[in-house]
Amino acid sequence: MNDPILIDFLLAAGLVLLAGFSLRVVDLFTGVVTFIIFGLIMSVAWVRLQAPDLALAEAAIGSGITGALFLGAIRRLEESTPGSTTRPEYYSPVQRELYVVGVAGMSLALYLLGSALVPPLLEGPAGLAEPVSEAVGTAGARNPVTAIILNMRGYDTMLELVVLLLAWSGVCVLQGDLGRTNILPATGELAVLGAFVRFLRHPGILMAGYLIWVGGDEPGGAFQAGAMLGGVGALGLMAGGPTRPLYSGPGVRPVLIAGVAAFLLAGLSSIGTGGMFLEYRGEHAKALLLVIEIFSTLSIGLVLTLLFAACTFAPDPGRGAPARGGHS
Amino acid sequence: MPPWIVIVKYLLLIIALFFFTAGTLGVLRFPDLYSRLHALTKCDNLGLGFVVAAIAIDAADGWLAVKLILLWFLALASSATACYLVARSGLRAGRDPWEKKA
Repeated sequence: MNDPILIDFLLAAGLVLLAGFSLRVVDLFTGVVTFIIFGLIMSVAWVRLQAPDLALAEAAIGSGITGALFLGAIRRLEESTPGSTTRPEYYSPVQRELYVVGVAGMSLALYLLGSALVPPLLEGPAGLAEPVSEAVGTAGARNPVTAIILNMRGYDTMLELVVLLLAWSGVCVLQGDLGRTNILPATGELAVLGAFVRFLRHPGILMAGYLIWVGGDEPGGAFQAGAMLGGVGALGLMAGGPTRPLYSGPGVRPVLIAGVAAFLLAGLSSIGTGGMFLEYRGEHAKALLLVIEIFSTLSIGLVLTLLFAACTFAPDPGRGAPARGGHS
Repeated sequence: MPPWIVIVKYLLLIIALFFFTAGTLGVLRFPDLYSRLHALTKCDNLGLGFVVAAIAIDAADGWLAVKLILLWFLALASSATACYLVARSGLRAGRDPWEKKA
């Protein structure tokens, strides 16, 4: 990395251009597609920065699942308020060209400046890299990213899971409890998609398990694995898969909170053995982290699938938020 | 690495480049959704296939080569499905295939 090359320049300039385009387009659909491409290029950029964990997360969550959620949201928006997803063009062609030329010029200038500045910067103080690599030995995961996410900064990660739960509660409040309504299955004509999903679901689930396991030593982990499960779930929903048992079954809520519950229980157990809340040391650390990751993956996968369902399929008409009634 | 492997690798990459270039040109220049999709799948199928072949022949071990080829199969399956779905929704939205004006 001491030696910036042309592809880094192209990536950086492309990212700024795509970010601008995704904000300035005249219809939201094009904006979302541009945003998805932005995510994919961003994950290549993370690979170039030698951060494969982030690259995986960006491709799976930032680009894949978020893109699917946005596309579903646009469809719902267009159905409820036709014409609301486009707007008149208010930039002239000259302004647009100026933007492209300006970004390209600035990126080139930064690239030239960067090739002069980056090598000296890299020789500066290493930040937290050294204390982290010292602590990794006792943190239960040899992959420093996993050790930081689940152990050293476990509090942040637990709260991220809470955020996902809150997002789902918000959806439930806004449009009724989808977990108990009959999510409309797609019409039975999607034979090709159905065959694709049948072909992909087992490798997908296997891949999620692999990502959890490998996350201890190499790039991977609960968020990537959960995104994988969410993707499998979303594909199954689109193909009109068996939604009712999965979304209205009695196991939905326990699985939703499983991740946070595992975090809390494991955190409390570390107090019991003389440590601090959410502090895992020594021989049990790896087992504890693995349990947390498995349950977090299930929660993340389910929340993402349910969010996708909420974005994509209209709720049962008779079951909007006001008519929700008194069930807990 | 014996020199012939390097030569074969670059030949494969050049063939891949040809398909990517042709596919991209097709997406940009073809007149309607369906012929653009036809062009696009050349990138996914043949372009990516030749890139995978080029990387696989000089992979460090056999497993890596197998993984790469599995990746290609995955891309084949998803590109075929996605292409079908896009074409289907285009047809349903009433997009007529392009016809040469008399």
